[in-house]
Amino acid sequence: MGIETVNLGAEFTVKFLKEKTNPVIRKLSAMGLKEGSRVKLLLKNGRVYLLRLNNSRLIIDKDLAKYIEVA
Amino acid sequence: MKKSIKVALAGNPNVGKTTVLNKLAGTALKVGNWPGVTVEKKEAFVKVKDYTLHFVDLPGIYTLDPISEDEKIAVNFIKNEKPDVILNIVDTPNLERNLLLTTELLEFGIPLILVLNMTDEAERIGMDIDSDRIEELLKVKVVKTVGRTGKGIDKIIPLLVEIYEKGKTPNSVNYSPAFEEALREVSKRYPKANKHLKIELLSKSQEFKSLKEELEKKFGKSIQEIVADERYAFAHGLYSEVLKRSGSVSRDITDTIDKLVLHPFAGFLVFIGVVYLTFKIAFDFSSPFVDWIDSFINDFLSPLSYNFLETLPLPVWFQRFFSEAVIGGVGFVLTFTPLIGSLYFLITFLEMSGYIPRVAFLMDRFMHKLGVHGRSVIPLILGFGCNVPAIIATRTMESTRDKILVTVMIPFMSCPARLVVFAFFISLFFKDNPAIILTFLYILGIFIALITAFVLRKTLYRGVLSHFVMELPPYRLPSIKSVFTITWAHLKDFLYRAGTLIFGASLLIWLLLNSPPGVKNPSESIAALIGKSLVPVFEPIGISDWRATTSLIPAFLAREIALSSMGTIYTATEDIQRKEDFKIVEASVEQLKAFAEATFEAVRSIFTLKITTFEVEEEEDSLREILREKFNPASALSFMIFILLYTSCLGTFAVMMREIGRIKAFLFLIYSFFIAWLTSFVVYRFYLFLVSI
Ligand SMILES: Nc1nc2c(ncn2[C@@H]2O[C@H](COP(=O)(O)OP(=O)(O)OP(=O)(O)O)[C@@H](O)[C@H]2O)c(=O)[nH]1
Ligand SMILES: [Mg+2]
Repeated sequence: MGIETVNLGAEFTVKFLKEKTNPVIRKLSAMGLKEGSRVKLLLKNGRVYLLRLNNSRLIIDKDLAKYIEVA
Repeated sequence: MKKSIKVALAGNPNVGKTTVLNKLAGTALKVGNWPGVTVEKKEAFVKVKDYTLHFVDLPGIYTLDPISEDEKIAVNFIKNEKPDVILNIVDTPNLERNLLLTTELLEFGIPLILVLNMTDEAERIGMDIDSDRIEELLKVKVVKTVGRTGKGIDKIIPLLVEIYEKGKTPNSVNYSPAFEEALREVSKRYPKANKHLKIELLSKSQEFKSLKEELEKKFGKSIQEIVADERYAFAHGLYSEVLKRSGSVSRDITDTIDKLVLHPFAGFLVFIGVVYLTFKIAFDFSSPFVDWIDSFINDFLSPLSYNFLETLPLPVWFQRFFSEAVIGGVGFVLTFTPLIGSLYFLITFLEMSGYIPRVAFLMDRFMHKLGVHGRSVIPLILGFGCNVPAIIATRTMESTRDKILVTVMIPFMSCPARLVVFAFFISLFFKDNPAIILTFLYILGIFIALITAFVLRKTLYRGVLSHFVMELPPYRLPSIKSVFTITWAHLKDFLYRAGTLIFGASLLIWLLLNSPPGVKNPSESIAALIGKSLVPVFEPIGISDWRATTSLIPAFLAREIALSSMGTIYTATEDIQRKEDFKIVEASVEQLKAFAEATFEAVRSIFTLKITTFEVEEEEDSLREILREKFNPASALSFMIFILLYTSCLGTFAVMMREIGRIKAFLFLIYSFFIAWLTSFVVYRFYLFLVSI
């Protein structure tokens, strides 16, 4: 499943990240979004998501979100 | 000679590195509440005991493999410049993530001080970290700080000296046995290499190809993943060891505000409201002071200095120089200092609050149509403060294509220097609807920027969009003191420019007005000759007075110079009456009274919602009178549009050359001249047409 299936305000776990050697995905992991992370979907706006991750918030766009499989 | 200790400030973006350095060294470097404020290395020096501490503030990074240009600057510094001590600043509430970079930094074996910043926010969520345990485990020094208030920061300098004198290196980072085993193999051939280098050799060098492949087979993943996972594991283990109490956010004020501010529709209304209020407050608060300075210079300072100069045996030309170039030119521009000050105060406040990156989220959808993502809104917004740092800020963009698309838009964002010119002409010709004209000019700039980017994207820069990922910080209430410090730094810059560049330009113009030597009538001077030869170019857009065209030439240095030059030229060519019978005591009392009134007016204006600035009929000083005769609303508008769109700013041009290359910068300059002329022409003709029917 992808993030698009998650409801606003719901929490999810990152199950799998595609292309773990892609520099952007590596940056994402370094920002704390890794396999196993618990994430909350705070807001959507057009092409972008706002996620909450521990004590930080992350904006990611939909194309990048396609690399993330959730459970 | 004092010994120099090179200290690198490293850490994740937006953790307060620059804030801490400003407190340490008394600097006023730019601070803002979004990731990517510092985009080049900035230095500061502090003398203590026998040492000069040489601080280098670096752009924020998440790891040591950089993507964007600003990240590369930071990583190159750490890898190649060998700092003596690393000051690793971390955001305490997000300690676990921050420790990943700390782990990488420890691999270098360079003495390190860990600064746990933002402890106020950690406390608020009930989080507690055992700093003694960190010191014990890593053999590094740990300091808890609050950058906002400066709490704890005084401990850093003594520790820096101590750690340097003792040459205390941290404990080596320990990874899993299998991985360490492989690193030992690398050590055999490179015994002197630090751990970071060894890992790099293992991952990339042909020399260790078989060792690498063996390891990859054993772990069942690529070397990059192995390395990343080893570091994560270390950081995570460390974090669990030192965490006394993990905090949890219950109800967060940021989330509540964001529901409104980031709402797809309501958010836009908030945005418009914020922009409106910023300009309204900046204008209304400053305008009584602008008027006051104007009268202070003309009714007090200048008669006072004439009276004084008259007592000295000075030649007549000096007095003329003083009244025309200094008072008429530089003084004219200085009048607008309060406007610049209030605008920078509000912009700095917004920058430190955390609102700016919200606009990136809000505008993403729109920016996407232009082929760039929301993040590019940040440099564009910075452009309203000053185009130069805004262009440098494009270093955070992840591809050259995005960088160029954003860079060509920035010069059309109207900066305070342009506002000075607008404020002047609007107060002369558009008193009835100042807000409409001002909004029109700002929007016109944005519109031309959008067209420029759109055309480029459809032609030369088709490529694909890079990904958008950015941290969104919580809202933070700026400390008023630091807002003042940074505003003051901007103001000093403006005053410095007035004293150097603007003064220089006024001097040059004045000299040209008076040459060849002995010229009687300024309209026969070299200045007039040059100006007149340009008239044919500018006549179609309504600027046919040689004094205005002459002013446009030195204005290439900086836009305010258009005004100061006009001030100089018109004062020199028209007879402006000087007030006689100047009495210093009465005049001083009057000035004080006027200042008190201005202050009252300024404060009162904050409590009204309408822009009141241009409402009052002020008495005219003669320079305004003259310009009112020489221009009309149509040509004034045309002049403003030309100043708005033409990249008439040496600073911007120079930084464009550096960031996107000479040729592109030069082509852009020509383009901006052309588009400025064309737009002025269309608007001027249209205005005349409207008036005629
Ligand atoms: N509450 C709180 N805010 C802080 C503290 N230290 C810094 N800030 C705020 O955090 C924001 C970021 O500060 P900067 O100093 O610009 O951060 P930086 O690490 O230099 O950021 P980059 O240059 O973008 O990497 C600013 O709004 C500061 O006012 C702190 O200890 N507590
Ligand atoms: Mg910084």
